[in-house]
Amino acid sequence: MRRLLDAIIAAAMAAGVIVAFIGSSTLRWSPPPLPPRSVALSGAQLAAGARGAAGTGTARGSAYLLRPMARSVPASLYIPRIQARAKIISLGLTPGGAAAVPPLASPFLTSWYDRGPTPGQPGTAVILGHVDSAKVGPAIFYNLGNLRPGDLIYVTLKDRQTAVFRVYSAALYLKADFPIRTVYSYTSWPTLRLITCGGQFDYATGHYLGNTVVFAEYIGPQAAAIGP
Amino acid sequence: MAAFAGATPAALASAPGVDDSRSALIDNPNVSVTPNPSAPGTATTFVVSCNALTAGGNATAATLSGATLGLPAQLPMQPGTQPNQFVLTVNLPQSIGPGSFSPDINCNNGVSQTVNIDVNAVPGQAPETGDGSTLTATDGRLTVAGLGLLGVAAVMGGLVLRRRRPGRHL
Repeated sequence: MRRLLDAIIAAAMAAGVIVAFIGSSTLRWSPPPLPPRSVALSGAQLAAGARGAAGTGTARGSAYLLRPMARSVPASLYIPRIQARAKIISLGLTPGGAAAVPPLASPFLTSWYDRGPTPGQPGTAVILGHVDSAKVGPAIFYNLGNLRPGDLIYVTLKDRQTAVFRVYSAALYLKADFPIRTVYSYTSWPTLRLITCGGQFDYATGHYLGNTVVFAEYIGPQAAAIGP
Repeated sequence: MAAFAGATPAALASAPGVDDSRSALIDNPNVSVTPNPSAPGTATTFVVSCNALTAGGNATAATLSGATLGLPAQLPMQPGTQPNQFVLTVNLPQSIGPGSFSPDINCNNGVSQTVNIDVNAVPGQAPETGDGSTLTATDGRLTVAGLGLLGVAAVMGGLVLRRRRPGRHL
């Protein structure tokens, strides 16, 4: 009887140690997905794509009748592939010179870089969102790395128009080597960039070492507005 | 100093297809800038018409005063597709600050035009978009469960030891 009790106690203590160890070393969530190299275009290809879109519009289906949209601040976005619906706020630059992002306390909010064009206007419209936040774990752009060329992004503007964008590339860049020009430079055709964090995490600084960037091109307006 | 791109035929060929409605906002009809607003490091095309009722004859050359943009003071422009038209594409310097700029273009027939160009700020570094919680947050439920098991075992062990002690003395 005592032997049995001793065995139970020993087993319980061992189990406790093991479970506590597992718990303190097991991630509560899986890491965010990252875009594979196969869908990332080079900087030259991205530039060529933007120039091609600005040309006659051949090989672009009905796009040759398409015109850029009127300037209107974006209000919300919808990305069917990753089931992301979010409101968009307008933000500028941080004191450090990076594009500002919503507070971590609002992990399902996205921000539009308000020093650039609005979505649907010529140039690169930039929308940023968090990949994760201690408050909730996976945040609004957690699955951004799962977007693939061809996926659609709907951005509804304040004037109730919805601009539809089609993904043409997705890539992971080191922050230390972030291709500012590739991501932010003017494109004569309206394009969109969705940006979040990704890659390895620097425990010392508490920051991700990389950014996931999704490149998309404007393919037309949608009649009915899609809100979050 | 920024790279001086010059007006390449390819760049010019695509310019008319650009439908940048903001270019139409420029108040001076004799000059156009594409894109406008532009941004640091962006290839920017200036087109000027040197036509003027008072000027004598057609211009054969025109120069853009690049100093206010952080470019060389005198940038020769290339002849455009029409008489009196001159074109130049330059890469704005990475160092140019955001704001409005008004460089002059001087034609050699005496016409002088002022260009109005807005320059947007471009983020200079990568954004911080996450706190790594999905890479660092450990499973608290398992930890709590394990600590609970440890506690239960400790209590049971304590009880057993207490019961055993009197037995040894007897």
